[in-house]
Amino acid sequence: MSSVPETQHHEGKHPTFKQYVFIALILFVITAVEFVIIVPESMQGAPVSLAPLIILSAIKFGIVIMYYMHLRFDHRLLSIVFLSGLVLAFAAFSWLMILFSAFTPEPREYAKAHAVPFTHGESGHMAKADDGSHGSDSGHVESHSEEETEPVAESSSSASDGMVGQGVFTGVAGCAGCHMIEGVPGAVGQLGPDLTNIGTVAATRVSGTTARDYIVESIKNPTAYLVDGYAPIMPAGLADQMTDDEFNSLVDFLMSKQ
Amino acid sequence: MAHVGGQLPTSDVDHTYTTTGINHRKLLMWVFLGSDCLFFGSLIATYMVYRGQSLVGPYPIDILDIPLTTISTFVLLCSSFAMVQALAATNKNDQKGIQIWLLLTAFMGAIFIGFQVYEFNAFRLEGLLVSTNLFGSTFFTLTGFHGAHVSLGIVWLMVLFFVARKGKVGPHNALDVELCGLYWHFVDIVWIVIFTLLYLVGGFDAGPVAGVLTEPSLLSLLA
Repeated sequence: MSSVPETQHHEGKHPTFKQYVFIALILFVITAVEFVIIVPESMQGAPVSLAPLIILSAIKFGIVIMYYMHLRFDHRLLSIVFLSGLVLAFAAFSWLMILFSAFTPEPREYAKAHAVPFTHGESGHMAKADDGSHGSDSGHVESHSEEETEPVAESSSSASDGMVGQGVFTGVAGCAGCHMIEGVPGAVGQLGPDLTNIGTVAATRVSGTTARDYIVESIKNPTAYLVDGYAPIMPAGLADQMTDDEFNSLVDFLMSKQ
Repeated sequence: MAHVGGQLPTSDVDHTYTTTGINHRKLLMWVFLGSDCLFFGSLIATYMVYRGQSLVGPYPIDILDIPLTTISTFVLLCSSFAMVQALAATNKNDQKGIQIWLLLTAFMGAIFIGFQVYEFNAFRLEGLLVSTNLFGSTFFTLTGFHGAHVSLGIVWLMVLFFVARKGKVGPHNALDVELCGLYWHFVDIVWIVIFTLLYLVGGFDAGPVAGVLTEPSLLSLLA
């Protein structure tokens, strides 16, 4: 084909200023939507957020290539050359993921068993700052001063599952800031009741309530059952910071503390 | 480079006859961008493969500042729009427009780099270095190389800007601006991917212990 009609075709379909503004707006809106998707804590890192996020960014990717880089209006060979690279890259990406994750999950299992939870030292600027609570935040910081680098590994008898619950306890949920559990590094808080034997104690607290129900209710609705001698300062809504899996792991972990 | 002086008629450059019907430099640029996909693809894959395998913190959720990075993502998107306008101004031989839009593009790129410098420094203060854990190694390598691409783009834009100030950029060498634009937009789309995977999807990884959404869900998406 001759390049002259190609060029005319190209010129004719080139987006106008207005269209470029419109395209830019679409890109902005998509980015804003992506951000809004992950604002609710239940969506943060949740599998349900994965598909929309990837689809939306793929749309952005496509728009930029087709219009800003005007691949849509250009010679097909350019598309072929670029897409070959892109497809190869995606294939390599997928294969590496499968190779390292599906075929050899051992490193991750090792990490699960040996990783040390991280706690902020001086500045906890963005760590769940919106739990909106006074008591928990200060408690949070306090607990980190001591033994924050203590490995969490040995203390738990069960393998990975108990570790997840313990990780929630000392990590995301921030329980360890106020509650102590003997043998759990970092769980040295004094503001709330000692939970070392909570699995046993919980069953005896309220007649007609099982230990599990007691624990679940106490996390979801901290003022439901108060322990004498402790101020009612535990923030409500802590459960909302966790995924359902994390919450269940946490309860399992506490139940195991007999 | 070949058409310094601007005495070539507007149409000549675009209509250079080649066996493919495409200007060689433009083809080369697209081949390069295709290969750069592989480069970033490997770095992103490396990040994802080692995701959730760090043994010590800080983990992503501990330090990533997603609202801040969303802002810098907006800035980079804006710069792509400015780049498009720079090329449009070049085609119209709007000398003032060429200079303004080129400078604006470079300026917004510099703001993006500023955000990145701030971010890297904040991470350093929080205790995350390249050598701290797998997260640090893969994160800094990936985003660092992206930042290097942006920085190179800024240099390229500034060179074009200074050439434009001498009135030597116009329709006769619009390809020079177009190629720079292709590179710039590519850097933008790479960031779209990085922002999504590292920040929006992986930004809430709390280490392997309390880790949510590790690779199996991503695998199920691929398979």
